Amino acid sequence: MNVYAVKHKDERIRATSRSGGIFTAISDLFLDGGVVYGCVLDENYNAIHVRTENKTGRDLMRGSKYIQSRLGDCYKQIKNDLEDGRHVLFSGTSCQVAGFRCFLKKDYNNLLCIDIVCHGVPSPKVWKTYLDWISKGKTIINVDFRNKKDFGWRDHVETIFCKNKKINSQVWTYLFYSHNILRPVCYECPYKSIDHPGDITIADYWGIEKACPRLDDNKGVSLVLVNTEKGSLYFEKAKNDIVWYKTRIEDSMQHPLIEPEKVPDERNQFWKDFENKDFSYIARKYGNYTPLWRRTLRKAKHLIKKVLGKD
Amino acid sequence: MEPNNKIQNTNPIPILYERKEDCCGCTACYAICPRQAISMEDDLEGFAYPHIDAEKCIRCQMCMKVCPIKEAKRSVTARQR
Ligand SMILES: Cc1cc2nc3c(=O)[nH]c(=O)nc-3n(C[C@H](O)[C@H](O)[C@H](O)COP(=O)(O)OP(=O)(O)OC[C@H]3O[C@@H](n4cnc5c(N)ncnc54)[C@H](O)[C@@H]3O)c2cc1C
Ligand code: SF4
Ligand code: SF4
Ligand code: SF4
Repeated sequence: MNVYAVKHKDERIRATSRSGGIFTAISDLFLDGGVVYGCVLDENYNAIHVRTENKTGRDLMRGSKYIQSRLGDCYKQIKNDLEDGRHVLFSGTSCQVAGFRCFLKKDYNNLLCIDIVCHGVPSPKVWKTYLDWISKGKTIINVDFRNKKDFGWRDHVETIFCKNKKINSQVWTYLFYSHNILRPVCYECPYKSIDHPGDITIADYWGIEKACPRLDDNKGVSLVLVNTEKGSLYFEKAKNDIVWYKTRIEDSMQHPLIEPEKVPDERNQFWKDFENKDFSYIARKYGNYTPLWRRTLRKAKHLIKKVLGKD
Repeated sequence: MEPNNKIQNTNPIPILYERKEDCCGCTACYAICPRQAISMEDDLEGFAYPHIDAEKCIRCQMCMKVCPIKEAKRSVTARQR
């Protein structure tokens, strides 16, 4: 296995990718007659896996969608493409790639698999409830799970774009990182090591400040594990479009490469609350949410103290 | 389908997962099933799990053989031995 720190040369691409844009550099190699499968948001903001042959379709796959995506009939569809001799890139979570390989039972020369490092996938049902709550009935026109442009790569802020309004929030981030809303299997995930089912494994390069400080500009760097010979072949071809450095795995060991997350003690309580309480309660208790009136009150108190010279 | 068909095959209807922790929802079993006997259905938490229609199932066990989580857990047990 070879380990790399990677950023795309095109800054516009990096700005719209979750980390350093390695997915774009690799998938570009398939847009000339090949096929790319990956995760997009559908018109109702559900994460689904789709097939595309063109750049427009591929660009929609950029950006992490922090919910479990639905594969639908992708496995069968990809197999058909493979049997037709098309060059296919499949990208998904480690278990989606592992499942696909089991389904195929054999290796195809014309298939490349990329798996993304993930520490768990949140519930699509909680996501829909959250969206309804945060948008307050306004029409949503776009969602960015991690607004890198305004907040940088390290600050995890999600932005919901509504008609005439942009809502920045961290409630989803907090719910996600509380680990209450992950799929149960994720707490026992078999892919939490440096062995991965993809030919290439991609992730956020946490620890870049140590592993390769010259690349660290808070705009996003990808950690890339090249696991197979085939993966290395494609990585070589993608090198034209990227800035890359070889790094050491010891400097790159984020938690999801070591072990799964633990089941939180409060998980059962969370789901009880989710069934019985309204979402404002959930957001306050588990999503670190402070309602506007309380924030205003806090500010007012602060101001009064200042005026009275007690601060 | 003739009722006889079912009697010939003495395999049980597979149990794809006993605990939720044993299924990642990858759809491999759903995709391999030769009879379209499996559907992916949401549980209360909103995650999709495979469900076998006993009427359609011919008990061929193909779905059990493509499951990545079973495979991974098997290889862990094998390594521990
Ligand atoms: C649920 C989830 C949890 C993650 N957790 C971690 C983590 O703990 N540590 C870490 O380092 N990285 C994590 N990531 C992965 C990481 O954020 C990026 O995938 C990686 O940095 C690639 O960056 P890029 O700039 O090349 O990608 P982009 O161009 O932004 O890549 C997008 C790729 O991700 C795939 N994708 C997006 N959403 C999903 C989804 N819901 N299901 C399956 N595939 C999807 C697309 O198909 C595409 O291949 C997670 C991603 C997801 C979706
Ligand atoms: S944590 Fe493991 S089981 Fe959960 S989605 Fe990611 S790869 Fe699949
Ligand atoms: S045993 Fe065979 S027919 Fe029955 S669900 Fe599994 S794959 Fe389908
Ligand atoms: S193959 Fe296994 S993990 Fe995948 S959906 Fe079926 S039972 Fe779940």
